[in-house]
Amino acid sequence: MSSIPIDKISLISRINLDELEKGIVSEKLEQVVEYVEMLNKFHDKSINQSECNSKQNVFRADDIKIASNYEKEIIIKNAPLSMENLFVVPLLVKRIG
Amino acid sequence: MSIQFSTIVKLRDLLDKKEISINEIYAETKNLFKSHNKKLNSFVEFFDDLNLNNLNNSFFKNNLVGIPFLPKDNICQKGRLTTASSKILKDFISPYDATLIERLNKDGAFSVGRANCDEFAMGSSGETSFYGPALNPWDISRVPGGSSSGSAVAVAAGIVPFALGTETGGSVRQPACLCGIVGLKPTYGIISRFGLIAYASSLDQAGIFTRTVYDNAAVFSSIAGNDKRDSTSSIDWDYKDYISNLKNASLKGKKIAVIKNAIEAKGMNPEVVKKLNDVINLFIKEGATVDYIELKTMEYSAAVYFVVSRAEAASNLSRFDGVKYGFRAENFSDLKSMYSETRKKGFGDNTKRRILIGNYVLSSGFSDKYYLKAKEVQKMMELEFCSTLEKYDAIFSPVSPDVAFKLNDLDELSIDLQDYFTAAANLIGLPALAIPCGFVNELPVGFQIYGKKFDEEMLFEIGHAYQMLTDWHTKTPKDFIN
Repeated sequence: MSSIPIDKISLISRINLDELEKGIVSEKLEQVVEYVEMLNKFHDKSINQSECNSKQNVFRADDIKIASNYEKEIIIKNAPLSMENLFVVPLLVKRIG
Repeated sequence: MSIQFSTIVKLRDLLDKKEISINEIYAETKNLFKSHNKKLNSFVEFFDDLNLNNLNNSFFKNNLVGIPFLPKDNICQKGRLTTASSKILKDFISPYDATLIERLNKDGAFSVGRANCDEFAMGSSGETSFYGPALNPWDISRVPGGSSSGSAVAVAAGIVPFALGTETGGSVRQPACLCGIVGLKPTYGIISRFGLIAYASSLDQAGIFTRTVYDNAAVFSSIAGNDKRDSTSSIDWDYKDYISNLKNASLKGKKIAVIKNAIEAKGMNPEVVKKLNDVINLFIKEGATVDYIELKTMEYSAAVYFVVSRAEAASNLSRFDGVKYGFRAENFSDLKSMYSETRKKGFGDNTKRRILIGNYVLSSGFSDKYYLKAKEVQKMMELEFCSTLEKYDAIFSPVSPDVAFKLNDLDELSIDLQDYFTAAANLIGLPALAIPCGFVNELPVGFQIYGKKFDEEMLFEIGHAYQMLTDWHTKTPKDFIN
């Protein structure tokens, strides 16, 4: 029995997997997890967890740049489906009554 | 005139002497592409429509004016397709140039196409590309390494004098090593990541493939520099010259630490080790001080890399949902099923597995055990490597345990473990340079040197001095000579 909660992982990843794929994927993920288990053999008490993220957040002013017409056009052109300069997606809100 | 296998320096010399024009270089590059790409699959597109007349008329002189190059297919080029060799981005046209493309264009170099790569730069063999694998010009039954497979192949086969790749765990140095050319992974933040399709943002960095270390320093001088559009840009200068000092390059007095537990690692091909020892002996002969040291944390680097890179990939690749760009699945019932079907059909199997494992190591109940633990070991690696580099000018290591492997020969985990000797540079943000140092069974072998953060100068100096004493970088694959 695999320890990987494959249905949950598939759901949060938003990747559909059919039954056959679930079996193959679980097995491959299991191998990777088995390999990275070695991390839990690593013990060094001198390390403080709060120091472990060595990279600092960098902030900048939120300057608004207006896209040129060319940029707007090419951005919308990249959409799989668009209408009047808007992205078209399936209906999100259902009308009640 | 054949320009195949020419270095940047050679091409500039021909241009300066007016023995060739920029349009002739372009035409000859197209001929080389036509002769070799069917076999090698290194380009996913060649640009047929360039107008270089403005470059011809330019009056400014620069090391890169009139030099063709090939960017990896995950680097945005304005008005061109940029797909990261993935079906999910197969129709995506970049609205802008990546900063490094802008800088190279400004310096007069011109891009001739897009290089094949592993899908989303995830892989070490080039085999996960939607366009099929690029092949190693030294033996086309073998992989060139990855993920920047096509970039390495195009330089190794002499089609272009330089190419751009990206690195997250070794994706420039490993293919450079397996193809017998030079590959640089620079310090994190020294080259802008603006316009690079993200894989793992805290590790990603652009890299450079060339035949010589000198050429590499010339390209690096052009693209390194601050960029306000990249919040992780880590320097405040715009330009630095990395080539002027190379004329005095010497190995004398350099302090080199050899990672003993890397050279002696399980799985190292003894013939490869012999080649690495030849380099070490030459360093000593030329007056360098060499010490053998143990870097214990290196043994964890692939495991740390697995966890951190997959976690960040799961987050970065969540933007590919079939709404704003790229591929959208046809059969779905609502918005959520549109996402899930698009991602099922748009991503390749390897990419899907990396996203799944990334979400697993980040999910509640598992993140302490895997993600936080990996970050802890990553910190230890940084402390160990950086304290070593306080005492030494460079750390010497293998790049790959063996020569290029056969296509479809390795299982997925073994391919992933190709990052074993390289991932430390990405996890710590250090620069590292891979340099060819011989052949085993007629296949190229390379070594690498890690340097202090922002000390690419030292790596170039050591690398250039080594190439002045050896001729491995002048060797060419015989099946691909025009």
